[in-house]
Amino acid sequence: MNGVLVGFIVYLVILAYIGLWARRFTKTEDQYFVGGRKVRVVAAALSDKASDFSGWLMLGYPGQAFSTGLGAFWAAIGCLFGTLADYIFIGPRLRIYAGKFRAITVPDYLEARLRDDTKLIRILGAIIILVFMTAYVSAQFKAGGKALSQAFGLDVTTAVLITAIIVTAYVLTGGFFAVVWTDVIQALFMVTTLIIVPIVAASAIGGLDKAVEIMANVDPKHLSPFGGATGLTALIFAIGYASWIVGYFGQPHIVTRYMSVEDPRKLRRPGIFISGIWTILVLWGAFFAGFIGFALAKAGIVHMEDAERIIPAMAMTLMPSWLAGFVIAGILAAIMSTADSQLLVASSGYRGI
Amino acid sequence: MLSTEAWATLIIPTLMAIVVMFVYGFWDKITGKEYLVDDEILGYDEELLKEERT
Repeated sequence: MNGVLVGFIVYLVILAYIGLWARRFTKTEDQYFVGGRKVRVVAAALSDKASDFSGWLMLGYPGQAFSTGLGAFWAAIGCLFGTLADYIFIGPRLRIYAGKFRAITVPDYLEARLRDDTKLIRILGAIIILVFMTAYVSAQFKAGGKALSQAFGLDVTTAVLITAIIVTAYVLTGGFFAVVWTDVIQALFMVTTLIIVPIVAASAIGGLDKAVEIMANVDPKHLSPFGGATGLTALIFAIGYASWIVGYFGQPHIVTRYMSVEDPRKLRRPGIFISGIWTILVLWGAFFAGFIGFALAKAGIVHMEDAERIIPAMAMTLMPSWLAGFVIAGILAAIMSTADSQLLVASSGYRGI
Repeated sequence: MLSTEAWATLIIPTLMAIVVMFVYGFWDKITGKEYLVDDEILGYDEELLKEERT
C-alpha cells in the first residue's frame, strides 16, 4: 500500500507543477481555451488521445475483453479507425477555420462557418455542451473516486470529492496549457501501464499459448472473432462493437485539440502518426490485459468480483507495490485526462449564454 | 495457440490502419498538394507571442 501511495503522490506533484508552470501562458480567454493556437503538435496529439480514452480504456475495455474474449477486439478496431478519421476529415480543416475565424470553441466555429447572426447556434451549442459535458465529466469524477477508493480504502464520496478538487485545481490554474501538458504525462503513464500489464500477465500464466489452452477448455467462444456467432449475426456482432467509430466526430473535448495546434499541416505529419501509434499500443495492451486476465482468473491466480477490475486486481496480485502504484496512477491518469478536458469544454459553455 | 483466424482479426485491421496512416501522412508528398496556410490562418494569440519573445 505504501508503494501505491508514493506512486500517487509523485503523480500529484507532477500535476501541480504543470498547473503552476502553465499559469505563465494563461492570461487571455484565447490562451485559456485553445492555448493561443500555439500548442506543439506532439502535445496536442497525445492530449487528443488521453482526452479521448477515459477510464473505459483501463477498466471498461479490459473488462469487455475479459467477458467476451477475442470478439471485443472489434471495439478496438472501431476506436482505431475513429482516431484516424478524426485526422483525415476534421483535424486540419477545423484548425484552418479556427484560425481564420479566431474561434476558440466549437460553437464559435459553427456560428462563423454557417454565418449565423441569430445567435441560435451559439446558444444551442452552449446548452448541449453544458448539459452533456457536465454529465460526462461527472461520470469521470465518479470513476476516479471509485479507483481512489479501491486503492486507498477511502469512502467513495470522499474519493469523488478528492478527484474533483485535484482536476478542478489544475484546470482553473493553468487552463488549456495545463490540461494539454498534464494529458501528455497522463498519456505516457497510460501507454507504459498498458505495455507492462499484459507482459506481466502473460508471464504469470506461462505464456499466451497456455492462456489460450485454458480459454479453450473453459469457454471456446472466447477464442472466436465473433463471439461464436455466424453469418448475419456475426456481422451484426462486429458492427455493433466497431460502432465506436461513430462517436469520434462529435466530441468537443477531443476536436478542440486540433483547434489549438500550432500549424494545421503538422496534424498530417507527425500528428496522425503520434495518435495512431499510441492508439494501437494502448488498445492492444488493454485488449490483451483483459484477454489473458480471463485465463488468470480461471486458473485461480487472480481474484476479483467485477470483470472491469481485472487490471487493478492483476496489479495488486502480480506486481511489487511500487509497480502496482504506477498502474493505479495509470488508471487515474486515464480518468483525469478525460475529466480535465471535459471540464474545460463544459466551462466554455458560458460563452454562449 | 491462437488460430490463424484469430491472428487475422488482430493483425489485418491494424496493418490496414498503419497503411491509412502512411497514405494520409504523406498525401502531400504523393500528390504534391498541401493545405494553404498563411499568418491569418495560423491566427496566433498576440499576447502569447509577446510572452514567448520575453
